[in-house]
Amino acid sequence: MSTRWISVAIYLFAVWPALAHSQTPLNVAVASNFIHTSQLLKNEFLKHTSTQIQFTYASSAKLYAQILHGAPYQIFLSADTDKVVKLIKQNKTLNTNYHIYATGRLALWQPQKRTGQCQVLIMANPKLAPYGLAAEQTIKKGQFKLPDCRQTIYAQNISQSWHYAASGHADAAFVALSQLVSKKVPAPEYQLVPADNHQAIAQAMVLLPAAEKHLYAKDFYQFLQSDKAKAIIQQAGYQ
Amino acid sequence: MVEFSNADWQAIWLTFKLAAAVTFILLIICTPLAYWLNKTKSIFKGPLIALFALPLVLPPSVLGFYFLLAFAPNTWFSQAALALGFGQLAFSFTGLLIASLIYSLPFVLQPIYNAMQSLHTGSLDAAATLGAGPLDRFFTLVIPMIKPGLFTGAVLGFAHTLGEFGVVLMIGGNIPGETQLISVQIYEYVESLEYGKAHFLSGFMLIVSFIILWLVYKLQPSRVHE
Repeated sequence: MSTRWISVAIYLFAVWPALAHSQTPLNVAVASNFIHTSQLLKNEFLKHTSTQIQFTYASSAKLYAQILHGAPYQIFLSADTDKVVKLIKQNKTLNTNYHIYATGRLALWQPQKRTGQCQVLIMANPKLAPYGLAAEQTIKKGQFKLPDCRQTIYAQNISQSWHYAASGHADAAFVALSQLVSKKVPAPEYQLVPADNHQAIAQAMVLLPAAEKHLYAKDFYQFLQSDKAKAIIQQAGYQ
Repeated sequence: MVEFSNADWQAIWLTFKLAAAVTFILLIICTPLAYWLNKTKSIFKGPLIALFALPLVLPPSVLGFYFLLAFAPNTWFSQAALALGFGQLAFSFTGLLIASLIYSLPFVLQPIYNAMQSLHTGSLDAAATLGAGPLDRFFTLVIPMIKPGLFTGAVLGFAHTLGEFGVVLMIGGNIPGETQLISVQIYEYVESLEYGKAHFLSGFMLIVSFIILWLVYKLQPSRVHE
């Protein structure tokens, strides 16, 4: 075989997968509390890289179940650390490294000051949502001053906590600082819960096996750990 | 071995209570409503039929979203309910009941309405000629003649309420014994990665639903008219 054919073959072997893969978008599974921030991060990343990024938003538990059953994501951004560690233990990740990309901050939002006793306090279900667990720990610790409410209602997650409060169902609601920031809620309407009232809401991310074959998966994963990304994440209401 | 927890039993009881209450109330509402819709010449007939069929088409998220807004304490809807003594609507059994009545209405109304469309008007006219008043005719003729329609309506209404999920998720608040239905309980197990418990309750739901439907179709009264 002539050297020319060999070089063509080598070229095809080397370049073809790259060409093929640059066409497929990067699929990132993102916990739904990070919707707003992930968009900001994507815009920043795409300033310097030309690829496509597709986010799939759901609760971390749903994404966890999907990944467990072979969903083709390259990166998983969970709302907690627990599910990432579980995936690593079950060999469903690229390697055993994970990274805390954001630490959530809990806040108490009182959308409208009504007269009389506080009727409804909303918080995310502690069994299901990291922010719910943090709210429960804060209540149990008893250092953070809470309004004395007649009823506590559990929302499915921190988004629903927000929806209940925003649609006028709550006198007070535990929400995420990131939500208040993204909705530009004026500061007098909420109080930040000091971080020592609860375990850190550490949100971990991990590379999944499909990342191996994607050109930009590791780049994006690295970018999320960069100072630039950290600044965006902090500005969005995380630590 | 996984077993039902107290919360599971509570959810099972609550789900069946809700389905039974919804079916009962809807039969009482839909029978005269279907009768009137069949007889009326009003120009509102068309729009009304379309309106009552809406929950068939609308996604539960749309209904749930509107209920969530309507059930907020400062809306006229909630104020009216409060004035009528229904108490707080959001996150309560009463709220779920009202939402389910609307959500399941077409499933009860349509079969009854269809059964009435094929009513034998000749016998009704004959009864009228023989001096039977409208109420008399309704109870002694119409009701027996539309029995299969009533039966189908009741089964569909019950089954549809048993399977309710989207609306409950949006307005329920997941309170044990008040708004925590089986479907939401299963969802909670899945979300908290307790797959074993989710399997157990899902399997129970599957078997019970199958048995209900099977018995119901087996026992279905034969049609009066074909």
